[in-house]
Amino acid sequence: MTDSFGNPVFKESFKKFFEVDANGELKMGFLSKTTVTCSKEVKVAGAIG
Amino acid sequence: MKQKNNFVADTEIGVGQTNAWYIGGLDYNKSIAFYFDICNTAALANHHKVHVQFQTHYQHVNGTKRVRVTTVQRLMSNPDDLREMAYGFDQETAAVLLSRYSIFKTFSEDAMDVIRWLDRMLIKLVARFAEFKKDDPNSFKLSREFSLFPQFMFYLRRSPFLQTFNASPDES
Repeated sequence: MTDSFGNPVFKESFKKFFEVDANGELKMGFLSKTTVTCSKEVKVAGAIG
Repeated sequence: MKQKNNFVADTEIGVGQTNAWYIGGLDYNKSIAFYFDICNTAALANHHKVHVQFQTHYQHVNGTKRVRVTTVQRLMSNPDDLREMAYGFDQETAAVLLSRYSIFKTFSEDAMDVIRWLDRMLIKLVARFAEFKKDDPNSFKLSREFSLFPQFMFYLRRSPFLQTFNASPDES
């Protein structure tokens, strides 16, 4: 098991990370906030990311 | 975010006691499991509709603020009607949710305790939904919706996620 920055596995995933869409923008969103609202019969217990 | 209100259940699964979460980065492969608790079962009449809405605000790479709203409607079944409840059971989803929950539990609890908890969960579920005659193992029968679920749990509890013995800390 060796790992280096020259390793193709690392290179590919690094490229994938900075992949852009048709407008040349990263395929990501930042500073996000998710709110859950629900009917009174259910309540939200938590989230696991 | 610890914003307690009427939407928040008393029980906590994962990161709870709130109905809003900050997520630093989102991409197409991001998935978050939300856990819900049913309260007020008396009010759950047959085929009652329940709505859940997710509002996600985020900043796009070009600086614009964006909002995505998803609203889902679920048909609830009568808690006494086991057949109908079983019909709505998605064993693959259940396996994913239970895996996430058990991995989350290993952060604060011993892996062995989590495995035992997982076993108890499976036993409880099977005891409720399987058909069997007492003291006769051959009469045991699980309906189609649950056919693979015990296997999923079997492989989960044996997987390196929970069986961390002989694995170095960076691997477990």
